[in-house]
Amino acid sequence: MQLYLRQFAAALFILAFAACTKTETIDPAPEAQNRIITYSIVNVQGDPISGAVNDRDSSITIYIPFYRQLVVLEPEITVPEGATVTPVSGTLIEDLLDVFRNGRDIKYTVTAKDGSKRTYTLRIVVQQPDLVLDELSTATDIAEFTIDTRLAYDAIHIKLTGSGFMEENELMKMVLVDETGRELSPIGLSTTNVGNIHLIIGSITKFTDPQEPVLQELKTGLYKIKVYSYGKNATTKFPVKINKL
Amino acid sequence: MYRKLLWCLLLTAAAACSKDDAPAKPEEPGGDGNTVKTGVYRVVNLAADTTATSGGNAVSLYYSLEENKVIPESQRQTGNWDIVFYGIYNSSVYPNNGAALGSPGYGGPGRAVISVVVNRKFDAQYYDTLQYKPLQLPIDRNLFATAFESVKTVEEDKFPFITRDIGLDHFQSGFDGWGHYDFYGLLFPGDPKKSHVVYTMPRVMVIKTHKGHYAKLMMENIYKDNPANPTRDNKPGFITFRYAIQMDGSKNLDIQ
Repeated sequence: MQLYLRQFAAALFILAFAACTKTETIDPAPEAQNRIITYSIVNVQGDPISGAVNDRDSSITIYIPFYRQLVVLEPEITVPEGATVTPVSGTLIEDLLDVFRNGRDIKYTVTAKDGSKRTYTLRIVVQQPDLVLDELSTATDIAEFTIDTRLAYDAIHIKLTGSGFMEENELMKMVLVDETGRELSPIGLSTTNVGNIHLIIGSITKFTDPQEPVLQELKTGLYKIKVYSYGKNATTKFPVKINKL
Repeated sequence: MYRKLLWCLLLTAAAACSKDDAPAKPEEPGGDGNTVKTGVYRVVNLAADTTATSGGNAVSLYYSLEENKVIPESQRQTGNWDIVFYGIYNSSVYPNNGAALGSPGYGGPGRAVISVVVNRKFDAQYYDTLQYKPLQLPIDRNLFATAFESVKTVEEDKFPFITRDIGLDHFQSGFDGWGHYDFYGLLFPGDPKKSHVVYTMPRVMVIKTHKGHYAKLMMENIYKDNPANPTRDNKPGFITFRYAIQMDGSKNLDIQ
């Protein structure tokens, strides 16, 4: 019995030491309670898109693949127990195309149980192929379009080939850029070639009354063509000449 | 002596091992849970797009059957809605399905699906089942009530769920739909007020909502004030429909 106990004690000694070696290490500094623990986009099919939370520079980076065609994001945010985050988890980020085209400051402030605050900045990175526009003009040969507003009906159709266009027209925009760099109102995109990622057709039409905004703003002159395609945009190197009669 | 030491050791071992960090519980995502109860609901003159014409797509109208309310288009890639009235005259009823390429909810989390219940024997009372058009207009209103009530359960095997839209019946397609579009006014020859008119038919759509509840829905009209025999003078873009939703998770659609 005695021997048995002794062996058992020895075994326990070893076990205890093994168990205790883990607690001998010094505890790491407690993690800040005003952190964002996880940030993910949940309004997608399948697994959520996980964001990378960086505590060093208080940023969150999310990578959005273009093919998901997302125009609104629904984030799910977790924070330590007792902490709160504003805007709250689930607050939608709407009109994503506007975020891409005009930028928007999106920040999250976490308030810990003890009242300490920390503000994170959201960075949205779109993963998308390059947008390439084939030129309509060259340095010496300027392509010309003419629209006669005295007619009951007239139209010009700007056919641009290239790559990186979206399948859905509503994720794209075509504008004329005048010589001062000002962008005119968007040009209507043809719906007859939807799904073609190598061609878009923009049409300016004299038909409706009042005339469409781009036609009202248009004056005879040189314009570069700028295309927005989801998270990217590109402008032709050479302008085209548009005559408005 | 040994016994004391043993106890000592046991205690140390136990203390050493109980240092598990309990992970913080994730917060529930936001969202208001103003869901409806199981029941029949009727939506009257819902202004979808009052400028709608037969010439082009109308402004889409996104609707939550679970909350019985309109959802803004800016939320089309969320789970907040179940169906959308889309396209010309808002006539295409799409489910919120994020996997369906080219549909309004594409890319989002939507899991809703839709089907249309078609019973040719029942159809024969008001409909030419070979030419796919109403026999006479207006269609007897009692048939609408009968059709709605006769759908008592979900029959997926007979009327499979799809992720695309249910729209106008056999209009430029081979698909059964919820309404007849008389493009040329063939049902009323010589009456110019009768072309490009949409007549609802007593057809029931069964919908599995994004959250997985079953509902049945019947279009009553797309014209203002629910006219029985609409003409071009009636204002389109005002949707009247009725639906019944089962919130207990079952397929029982025998709802009063």
